[in-house]
Amino acid sequence: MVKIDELNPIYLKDETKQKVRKSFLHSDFPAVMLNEFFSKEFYAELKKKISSLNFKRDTIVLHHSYDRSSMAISSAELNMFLSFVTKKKVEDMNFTVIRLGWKDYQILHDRYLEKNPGVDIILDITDAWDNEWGGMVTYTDGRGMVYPLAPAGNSLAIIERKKNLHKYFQYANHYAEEKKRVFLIATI
Amino acid sequence: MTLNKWINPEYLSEEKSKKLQSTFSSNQPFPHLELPHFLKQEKIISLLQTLGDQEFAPHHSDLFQFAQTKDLLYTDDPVLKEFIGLLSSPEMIDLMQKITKIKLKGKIDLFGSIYQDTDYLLPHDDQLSGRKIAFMFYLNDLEEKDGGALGLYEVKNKTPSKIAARFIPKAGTLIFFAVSDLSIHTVEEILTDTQRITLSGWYYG
Repeated sequence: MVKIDELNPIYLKDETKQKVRKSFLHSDFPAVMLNEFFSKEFYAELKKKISSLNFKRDTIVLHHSYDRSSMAISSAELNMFLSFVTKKKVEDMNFTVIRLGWKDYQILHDRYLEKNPGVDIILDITDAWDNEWGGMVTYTDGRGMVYPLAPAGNSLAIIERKKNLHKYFQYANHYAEEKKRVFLIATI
Repeated sequence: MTLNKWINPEYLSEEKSKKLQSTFSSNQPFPHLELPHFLKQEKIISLLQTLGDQEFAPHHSDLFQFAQTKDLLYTDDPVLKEFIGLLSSPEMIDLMQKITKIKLKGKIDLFGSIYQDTDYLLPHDDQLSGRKIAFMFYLNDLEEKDGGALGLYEVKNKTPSKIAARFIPKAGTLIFFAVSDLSIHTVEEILTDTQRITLSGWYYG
């Protein structure tokens, strides 16, 4: 369990929260990506904790291949911020931690599609990753709309996953070499 | 259509068909065949030259990244028209039916594909209404270091587990397999500047 009270102070200001909520609720694609979300000190602490997690190799050939772990995050500030932006009740979340390396992916497959809509919360802790290496979390409605989230360390993405909106993890190619792309996902 | 204009004559005898039939059905992890030097050398060159005049559009999704032509059935190119005529000729359909024991209607699809550095096709089974046999003609040579191998998955308890057969593209080779819920396959990522150039499609039944 990680105790967080270390959001970047800018995200605690009413004016900022109002802007983020407006952007999230009223954009064509209901999503916001917030950079430098945590304080630098806390972000460093979070990365340290994640690096000490035990990851398990998780492969379902027709759906995904990556390393997976989990982490509970308890933060009144984070919960209040997300509640305000999404207008949903948010309690402490248990995040799935995904670690992608070369040859890893997640495909859209009928058998494994998320059935229920929700709001995805993605904390990205990938600091040195080139988009050319793939591995982007990408949302699509299956009718041509594609919304890739560019990797950015210490960012928080909030995405309303409506019916027929699904996500996949783009294949990570050989230019990634030994590097890893790590992010945390939870759904509210 | 005379098959021996395009195809290595060693594949056209009755005796050979019977052998291939046995090999096709017994090959693991699911029925398939690899036929090296299936196309004559001059036809490989001719197809490569004519594909050079075709437009390849980049395609990418959760499942793949490569460049592909439009469906070549509607091409005006004389070489490709002749090649399509070969593939959909009664003689070729008869040969494919003899080898696979799968009833075919004569309808086919055909696309040119180019995979280049970092391109891939992730595991899937190719099943779509009416598709009976998936086929691919390799038009250039790749080596192990280039990537781009075709991998066929072993399926246990309806779950694909590991690649059980792997084919590195060689010019003139024809590979085909029966499309079913077992036919999980992949094209491994291209790792070098060597392109992987193919003509591929499906026979329908």
